[in-house]
Amino acid sequence: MKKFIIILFLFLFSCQKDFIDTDVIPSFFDKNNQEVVSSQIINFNLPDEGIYYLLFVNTDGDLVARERFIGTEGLNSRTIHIGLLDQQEIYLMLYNSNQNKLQEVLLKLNK
Amino acid sequence: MKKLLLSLLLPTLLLGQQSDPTFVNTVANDGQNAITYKSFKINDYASNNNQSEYNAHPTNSAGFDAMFDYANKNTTTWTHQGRDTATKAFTWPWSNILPRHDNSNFGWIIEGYFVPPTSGTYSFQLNSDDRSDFWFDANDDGTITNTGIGMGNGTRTVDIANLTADVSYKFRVRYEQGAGGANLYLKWKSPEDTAAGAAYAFNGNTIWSIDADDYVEPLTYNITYNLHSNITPSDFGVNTYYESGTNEVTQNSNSTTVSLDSDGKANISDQIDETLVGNGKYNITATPGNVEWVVTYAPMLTNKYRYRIGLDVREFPSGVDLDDVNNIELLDLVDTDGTSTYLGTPGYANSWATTTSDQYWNNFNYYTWSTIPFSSSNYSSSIRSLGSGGYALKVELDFTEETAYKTQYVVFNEPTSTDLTSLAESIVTVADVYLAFQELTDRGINNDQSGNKFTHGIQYANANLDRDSDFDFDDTYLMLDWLNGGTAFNITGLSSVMRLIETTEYNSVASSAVGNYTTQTMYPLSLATGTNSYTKNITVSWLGDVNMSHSPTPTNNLTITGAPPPLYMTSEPISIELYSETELKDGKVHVLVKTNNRGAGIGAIQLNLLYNSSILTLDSHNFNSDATDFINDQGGKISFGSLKTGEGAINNQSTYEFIFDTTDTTGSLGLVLIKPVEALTTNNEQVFIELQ
Repeated sequence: MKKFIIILFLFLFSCQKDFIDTDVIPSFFDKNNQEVVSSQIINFNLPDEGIYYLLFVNTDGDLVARERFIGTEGLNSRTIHIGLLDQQEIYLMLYNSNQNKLQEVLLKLNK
Repeated sequence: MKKLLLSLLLPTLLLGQQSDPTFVNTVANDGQNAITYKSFKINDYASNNNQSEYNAHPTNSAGFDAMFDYANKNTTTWTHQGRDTATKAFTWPWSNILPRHDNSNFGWIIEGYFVPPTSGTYSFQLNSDDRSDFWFDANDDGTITNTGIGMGNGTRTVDIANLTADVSYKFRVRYEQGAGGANLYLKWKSPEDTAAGAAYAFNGNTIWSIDADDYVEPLTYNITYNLHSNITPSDFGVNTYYESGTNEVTQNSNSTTVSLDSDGKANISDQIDETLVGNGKYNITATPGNVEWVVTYAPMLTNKYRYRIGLDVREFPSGVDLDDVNNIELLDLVDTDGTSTYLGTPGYANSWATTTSDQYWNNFNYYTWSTIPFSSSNYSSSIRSLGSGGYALKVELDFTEETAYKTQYVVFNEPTSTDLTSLAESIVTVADVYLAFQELTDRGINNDQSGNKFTHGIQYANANLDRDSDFDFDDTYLMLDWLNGGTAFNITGLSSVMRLIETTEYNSVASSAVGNYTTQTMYPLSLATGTNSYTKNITVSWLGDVNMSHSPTPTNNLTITGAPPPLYMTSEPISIELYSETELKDGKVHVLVKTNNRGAGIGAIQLNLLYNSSILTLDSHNFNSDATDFINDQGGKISFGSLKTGEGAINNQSTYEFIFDTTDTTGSLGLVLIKPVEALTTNNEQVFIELQ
């Protein structure tokens, strides 16, 4: 009987709905490639508050544009603009103030 | 009404009349290596109740006459006519022969002129499958006769004697093809070929489609625009215009745009109006008449013989006076363009000149080395002595207006304003301005060449932005104004910046003559009757192109003191660093651009800042370069930079800050891009700009 109760308990417990945290927003840098439009809002997490840089770097490794911003710990949101770019693809890179690259993603520009 | 229709249609119905085929000009113009042809469909029995009307393979000349009598034979149809090459007519293979309706049952009549290069007996060889005959106007009387060369298949020869070099002898070849194999060859041997034992051969240059004496060489006009490699020739096209009034031109009705090819060449032969029109200049000819319209006075002897001659004003057409007269012939007494060279060179083109006229007489002075032969003239009955050395001429005066081509120009098409702006911005950059200041700093003012920075005279012309007669501070002021987006250097069209100079002249432009070289997009064709082939070489340079980055280098250098520095050095390129970033602060986008010149001694730098003008508006800027800065906001693009207008170099680490109002406060990445244009050392060496 005990076994039956235990099995029944386990069965009922296993049928409980999984907990899903619906407030978690995926980082824009989670994927290797992203398709973006003219003015694209991107979200990403930062480990600390401080000065960071977002860079556009072309596929030859040449710097195209740089934005300096003060980031906050945790989720950050910014808008990137691709209207002036003449490339089809470009890297978006995230650097900290020590010039260390933290993240990068290849953007497919959908203008 | 029915009767009327029948009366119109009946002749056509009864006679089976065919309309002529369209004349096809495979060869555009009559001339050398050309023939005219007619092509027929023959042996078309189905069109005649399966009955033949003539021998399918003629055995005599009359047989060919019947075969090609398309107007009266149901079994023959005239299918083609035109002008083509003699080579195509008299050589083979099948893939390149004259037009025909099909490869069977066709015939040709081929006509042309044989123009022997040397005199003597020419031996002709006709080879055909199927049959052919050969007619020739051997005595050049306008009538071709049968050479009797025979009608059969295969090779036949005939000698035609006593031909004269360069005379055009009309000839005709008739040919028919039934079915199966086919060919037609006409070859010949000159007297020299025969003597040398040479083989029969065809030479298209001996065959003409018209009498060679009637040949008029078509007008050809080729222009090569010499452009710098930084200018793309195919971006430009030209048309031809004629002078339709004072300072007014109108495009020729037959002119359509000719694009320059990759070498800058344009063939405008088809664009030229070849109509000859009166040019307002008259030739006067006096012939015996009934009224004494001309008087001559006793000559002055101090200038050899100077006769004053009066022409009655009533004989002159309305609006014409002596200034409009080019030449005067009075009986066998006076010919102003042929009998005297007294004032020929220099002086008056013809040895005469107008002098004081009154309401009765248009007087001119006629200069001659000998007396006018009144007493020995063949027209003594028209000459009356007035005493004291004067004579009256009983003559009629005929006025003939000379004709000439219209005054025409080849004119560059106007680019769009966007293209023109882009072109000007690429040509006139900070490097030009810096070089101009260097020339001035080194006392190269007023074209005296002592600046030693300009190496060619055309540079002074290119630097002469205010279009006066010299290069000076006024011009560098305009250049700075241009860099700052001012309008003092007025670019209202391509003619504001383009300069056209005949290449031979371009190569030796003197610095002292810069005022002579205005900018223009039109160049005179200088057409002259009697000249049919023109080749022009025109070099295109640009106002503002001081450093010759877009103007060809003249072959002749200036004679200047000192060794000029090289405009560009490419062996070991110097590089400088350029850092830029954007940042959102206080609701505005701040742009910081910093240079690190690595001690290179930079004399000038120009950069472009592209910005998203739908989001950003420039609020202010702050530059720190220790030099003359410039900024030109064109809405979406800012051209900026610095140059030293005197001695020294720009700050080794210069900063350029911009503050933009923005409608987007959530990010600035991509709203601004920095694009290097160029930088130069104080020695005018090109510098590579590395974005960091």
